[in-house]
Amino acid sequence: MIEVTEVNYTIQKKQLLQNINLCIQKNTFTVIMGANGAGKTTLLQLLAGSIVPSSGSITINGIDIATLSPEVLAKKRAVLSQQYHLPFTLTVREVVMMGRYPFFQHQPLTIDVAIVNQVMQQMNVAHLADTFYQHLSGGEAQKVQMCRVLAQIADASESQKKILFLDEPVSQLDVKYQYQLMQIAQSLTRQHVTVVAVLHDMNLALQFADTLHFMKSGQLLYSLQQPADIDAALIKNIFDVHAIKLEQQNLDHPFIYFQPE
Amino acid sequence: MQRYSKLYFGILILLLVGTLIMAIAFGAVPIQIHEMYTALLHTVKADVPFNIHEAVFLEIRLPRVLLCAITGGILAASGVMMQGLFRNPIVEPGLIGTSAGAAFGASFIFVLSGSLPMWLQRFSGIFLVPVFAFVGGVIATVLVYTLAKSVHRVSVTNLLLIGIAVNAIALSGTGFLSFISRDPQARSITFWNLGSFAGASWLQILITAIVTLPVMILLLRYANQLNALMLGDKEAGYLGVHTERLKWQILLLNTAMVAIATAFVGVIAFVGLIVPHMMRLLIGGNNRTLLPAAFLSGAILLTVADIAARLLIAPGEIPIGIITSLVGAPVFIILLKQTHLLQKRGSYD
Repeated sequence: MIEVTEVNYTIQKKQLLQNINLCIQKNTFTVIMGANGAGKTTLLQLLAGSIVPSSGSITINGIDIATLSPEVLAKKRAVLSQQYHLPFTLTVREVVMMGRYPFFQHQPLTIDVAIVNQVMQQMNVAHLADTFYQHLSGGEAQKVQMCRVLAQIADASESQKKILFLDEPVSQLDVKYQYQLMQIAQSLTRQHVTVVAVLHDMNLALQFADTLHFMKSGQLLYSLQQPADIDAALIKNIFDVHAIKLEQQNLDHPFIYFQPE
Repeated sequence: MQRYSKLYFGILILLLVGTLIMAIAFGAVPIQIHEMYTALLHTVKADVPFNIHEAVFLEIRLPRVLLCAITGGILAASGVMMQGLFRNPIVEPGLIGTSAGAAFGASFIFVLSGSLPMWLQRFSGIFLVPVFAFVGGVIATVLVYTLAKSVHRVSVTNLLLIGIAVNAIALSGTGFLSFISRDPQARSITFWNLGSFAGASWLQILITAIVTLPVMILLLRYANQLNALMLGDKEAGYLGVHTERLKWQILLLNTAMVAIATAFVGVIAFVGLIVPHMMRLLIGGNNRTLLPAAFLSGAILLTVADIAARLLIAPGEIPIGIITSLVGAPVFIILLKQTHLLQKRGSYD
């Protein structure tokens, strides 16, 4: 369980996050939404431990993450960032293998090689294994980076629970792979992984999220334990867009139709 | 790539042995292969006195060729590490102040040692000079690194511009030293700015090897972390890398290696730029294989350059730094064009 208590984050006199209180249950799929510049990525980086709150605390299972070393954290959680620019040539397999770096010293073990092969199969990029990462399309590159973080949390178990942070993981994927990636993430929650994702597609979020949080101007304004409770007023407040909530009997989640003036 | 890496290493080692033998054979006194063999045999047995060819081989040619090869390896490996550290293919020890700072440190103690007591002077050439070269190299490199680092990232444009400034300071410092020193000293200082293997000795090789071997082993241990750094500082951190600590460790180890080489042979530019670039095209950017491959091919390249330095105006000799700069500068310009440094992407996070 991740607990965020009264967290503020200020950089160069600019307050990016203000009094955030948040509780993320283990083995759930949590989605954070909000307009551009609301502080979603900053919150994700705080949760992942790459930046430290100016005040307040963030704990994982009661342990303050500021006390955990990068090595320890690397074995607990993986992070998929928005964009990657690799300055040098590496093959896809070498990039995915990086996800196993926290678990071996110099040479990958048999289990690491097996995991890398398995996640590449899972994300349908096995045929690209020996291609140079630089030659991939944007969508392919995003899938490969997803493979890398999947490899990092591959050995989640009852005693070794893991957390997966995804920052706009489907921004460059076509519809088929958007759903495939979300399904993989959802299935991970049944395999001792807690998933926290920043998404922009509201209907995708409504379909997969267990809990839905909305941010605006550095504050967490709404937390929906039942995403289906979403309404047009909330959307208007957060995104400043007029929306219509559609519900159909044969669907188990509502559908949002946007109608800008 | 992995499948072929053994083959590549085999080829590189064969090439290195070949060029080493060629470099030993060519010169004012040509040495036959059977003379190399008998000289080594006589060294092991230590029974028969050497003839003149064998003496030239053992006392002059072999130390020179070996020091040249090790230096080439050091510079190329250092290029790989620096480029990985700054996430940019156009960085090398000659461009970010390391070599010039080391040369200044070396010539500083060299000029100063004239006024040291006699017993200390005897050690200065072989021990004090490398130590001061290291100090000079560290100061220059750290200066460039910290000045180029703005809030949270190192802009490569800044890095190169500040590198130019620090290089200029170190060069004028060395120039000033040669101006105030007496003639034989002044000529030696010029040697540090241009690079030469003419004075190579077995003791220099021993010291260089003692520093280089453990440093290379340590650097190889960092290869995976340096790979992770390709994703970016934050992302490497997510994979368990202490990025700041890693950068300082690599910076210091690297400077130690480069400073030793610079202390004994002077500034040799652009090897650290050309070799990593060529090897990345051949075997890819994985630092685990790139680092040793660059070391081997750096050794080959500089040995070949040394043969050229001795043959082109024989019986005279061109300072080797002139040859590497002539070949390396155009490669630098090509790389600069490729990385669009002067366009939008002036910096990497």
